[in-house]
Amino acid sequence: MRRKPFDVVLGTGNQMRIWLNPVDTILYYLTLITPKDPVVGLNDFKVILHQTYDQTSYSEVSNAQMFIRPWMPSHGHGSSSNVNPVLTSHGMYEGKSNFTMPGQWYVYDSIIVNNQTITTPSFYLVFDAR
Amino acid sequence: MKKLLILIFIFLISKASYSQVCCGGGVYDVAVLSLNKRALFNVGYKYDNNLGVWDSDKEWRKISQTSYQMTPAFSGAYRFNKEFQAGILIPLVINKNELPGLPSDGSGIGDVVLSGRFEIFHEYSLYKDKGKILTDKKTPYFAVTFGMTFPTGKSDEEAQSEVGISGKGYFTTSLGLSFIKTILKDKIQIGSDVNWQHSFTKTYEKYYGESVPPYERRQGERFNYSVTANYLLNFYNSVSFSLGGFYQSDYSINGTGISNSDESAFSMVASYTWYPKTYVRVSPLIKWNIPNTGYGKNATGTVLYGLNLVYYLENLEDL
Ligand SMILES: [Cu+2]
Repeated sequence: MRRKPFDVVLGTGNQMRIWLNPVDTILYYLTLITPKDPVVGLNDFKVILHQTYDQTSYSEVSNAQMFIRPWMPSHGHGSSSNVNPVLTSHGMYEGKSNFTMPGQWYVYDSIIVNNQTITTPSFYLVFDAR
Repeated sequence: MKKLLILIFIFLISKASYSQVCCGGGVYDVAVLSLNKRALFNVGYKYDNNLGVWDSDKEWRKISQTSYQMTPAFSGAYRFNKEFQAGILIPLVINKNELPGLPSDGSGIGDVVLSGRFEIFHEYSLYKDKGKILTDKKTPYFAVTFGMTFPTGKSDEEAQSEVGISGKGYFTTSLGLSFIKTILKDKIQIGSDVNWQHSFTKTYEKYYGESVPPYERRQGERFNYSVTANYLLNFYNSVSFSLGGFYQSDYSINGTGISNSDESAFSMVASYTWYPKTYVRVSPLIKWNIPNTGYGKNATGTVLYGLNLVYYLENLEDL
């Protein structure tokens, strides 16, 4: 497994989700790359997935499957024409998310690693489309 | 009964959501038959341009990309007797969207609406007093209105993308009251319509054509209101102006209300009507929302242009 350090810079629009998968007791890090400034319409959806056993060394996860589902909570609807992220380079997954109107959107992301779903059904990232 | 050139036409402004699943989209109006009319046939056309949305904090969010909806519609109404008339509306929904990378066109038959009204009082009805026939100048027009929308259009369950949506996908019923009072005979009328719209639960087994774990969604209870002033310029021309809006309570998913998902919006309608003959009406209209923070919540704001061509069958015998 490749191990290399990476910088974590949190600014506006940066999002990172950290959670422990109780089955394999691995800590997962999902870092959002884009969209930082989400727009109405199709957005490139790009994330990096890392894992760590000891919070000292981190490795990219390159065998995950991701299924995204944008949802507008205050209106009770989702969107069509989304593209599930697929691996493009080490730990990097790219897809497309469609925000059909301005406002707050959740993007639920269901992640499967080694045939095991490592996310809970309420795992999502938050976006404010403009 | 030529005195009855009152030419009652108020609009039963109802809203249907097509282009955006959540928020008010297309608008139609069903012309109402006055007492001297037996039936009407209406060909209508609406062009509704989406300007933006109000978010859950009532903040106005303008959109720069154009999306719009055109709704040609056929409607008809028939008067059964002095108290009861019923109508039908059959719309065709055409959606356009200019967002890059997304499907840009879609169309389909919309949701069919059946409506009716029980008319309890009419204005200027005749009555007998001590052997003399008199005209009642006080009582306003008053009717109980009701309607039902059928999910004949394509909803977000079956459509492939947003532009393919032409209907809500669930039944709605409405129950309301309608008043009209003539202030100055053959000159000025004011009217008001209120109605309560109830939506039935829809179970989704698919979403945009793809299978999903089944869930139930129901739109909140909706309250529509409008106040209309109508000014008759002469026998051939009139103008009207109306203020209206709606409030809708939280929608629910799997029986649980989603907090802060209530909707509201406020709109104005101005229309002009030309009556080249007593049995023909040509009526362009414009409806718009005030695109500013505070004038709506969780709803789309649009500007709508419409045109209605109505042909009436007049009553040959007194009702
Ligand atoms: Cu929405």
